Amino acid sequence: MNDKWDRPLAGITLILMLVAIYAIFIYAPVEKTLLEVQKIFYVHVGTAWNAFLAFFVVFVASVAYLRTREARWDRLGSASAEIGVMFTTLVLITGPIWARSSWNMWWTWEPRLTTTLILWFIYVAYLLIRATAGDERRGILAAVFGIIGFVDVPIVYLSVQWWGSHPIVLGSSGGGLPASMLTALILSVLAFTALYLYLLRKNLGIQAVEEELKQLKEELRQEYD
Amino acid sequence: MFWRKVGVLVWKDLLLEFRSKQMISSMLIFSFLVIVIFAFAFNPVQRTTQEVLPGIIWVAFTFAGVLGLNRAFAVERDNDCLLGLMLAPVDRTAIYVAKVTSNFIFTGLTEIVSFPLFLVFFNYHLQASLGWLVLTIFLGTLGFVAVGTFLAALASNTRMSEILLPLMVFPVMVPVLIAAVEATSTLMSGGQWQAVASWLRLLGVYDIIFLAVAYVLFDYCLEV
Amino acid sequence: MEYVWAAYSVTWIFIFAYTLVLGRRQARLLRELAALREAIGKESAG
Repeated sequence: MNDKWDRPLAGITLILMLVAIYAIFIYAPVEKTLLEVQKIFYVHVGTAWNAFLAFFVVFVASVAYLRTREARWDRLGSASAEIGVMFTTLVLITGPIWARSSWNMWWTWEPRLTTTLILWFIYVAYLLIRATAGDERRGILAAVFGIIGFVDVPIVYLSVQWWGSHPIVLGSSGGGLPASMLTALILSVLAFTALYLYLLRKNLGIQAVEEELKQLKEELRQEYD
Repeated sequence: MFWRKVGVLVWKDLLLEFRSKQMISSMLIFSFLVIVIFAFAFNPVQRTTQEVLPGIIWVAFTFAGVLGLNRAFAVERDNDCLLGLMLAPVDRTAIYVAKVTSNFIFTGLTEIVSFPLFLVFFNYHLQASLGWLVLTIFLGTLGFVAVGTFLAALASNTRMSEILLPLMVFPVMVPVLIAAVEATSTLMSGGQWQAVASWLRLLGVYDIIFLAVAYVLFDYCLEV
Repeated sequence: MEYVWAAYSVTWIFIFAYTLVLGRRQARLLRELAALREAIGKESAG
């Protein structure tokens, strides 16, 4: 929808992204042991954080839809899941690149990375349900699976953690970062959150048009039948 | 009263299966076939194969289980049986509990028959304490069936449900698979129950959580 | 360094492509809507 928020939000996202890139590459110092490679960390965490945010929104929207049966919650869940899958795909691409460059192997069965992979499968299945369910039932079925999938995530994480007699690859996920790196990280997360909101609104707008189109066609059908 | 209704519904499924014997025989043949295929894929004589046998066994169990789950609600679609079932004066949740029970019985029977076959065909020398092994398989199968039955009901509303069901079931049951394989493998190589206690607890917690969630949400799956 | 380059370019290309897909989807729908509206308008006028 070309509503009044579309352009400002796009602008804010762009500015935040540029600021984040400045902070990542110029403001934040180069890490001593990992060198430049550590810069991947910022984009990796930024997308990962937003993937989780997106799936949390799917969960909230699913619960709300089952309670109220308002179509807008259904649309929110669908839009958020799609963007979440996109962010998760990015996490799964940047993860191996980072792993390869800093400890010389493409994939580690580390709990966070593995859980992200399972998340990807779960929400791809969610999108497949949406694509293959009949029109009237689609929202309910997807919402039910959205709840099941979300409940599953902590258990998956726990089980993978217990399962892993694998090397713990990185203890420092934020805690021990110097202030300038933390600033860069926060800016990166904020920039990706703005991107998420922008894409979410755009996706919702498209679905609203789709809805309108469908209604119009329905009216026409009734008129000429 | 609730359990009497569940009992009647389970009896209906068992009777149906007893008369046709289609599903249980396909599941049995399939898991037998998996044994043979794995024997060709991984040489049974090698030591490493003996070590991964518990994993192979669970792959066979779950794959055969999915076959059964796919039929669980598809069978009710014929002649609009599902509608009749929903019009019957029982809670939807009773339908869920009954389907879990009957699927559990079918999957369990398959496991009881194919487990010894695995040991025979892979020449495995079993040294496990049988009680704990049975408990592990029981809890693992219960978790698989609890999630699987629920998702089968969900999938039966979609086109291409037969492909969609495994795509939904396997990611969600990752914890069951990890815990069951780890516990089975420890027990089969002669480990004591203390070594698998935390895995069994995880399986138990998983079973309880998903039975509860499915119990609450099942109403939505069968709504018309 | 090439790893950093790879990670960032993949991310940006991906996001750019997704935004583009969304934009095209929107444009197509709006076109369809406009066409439909026009058809209805003609119908009721004529």
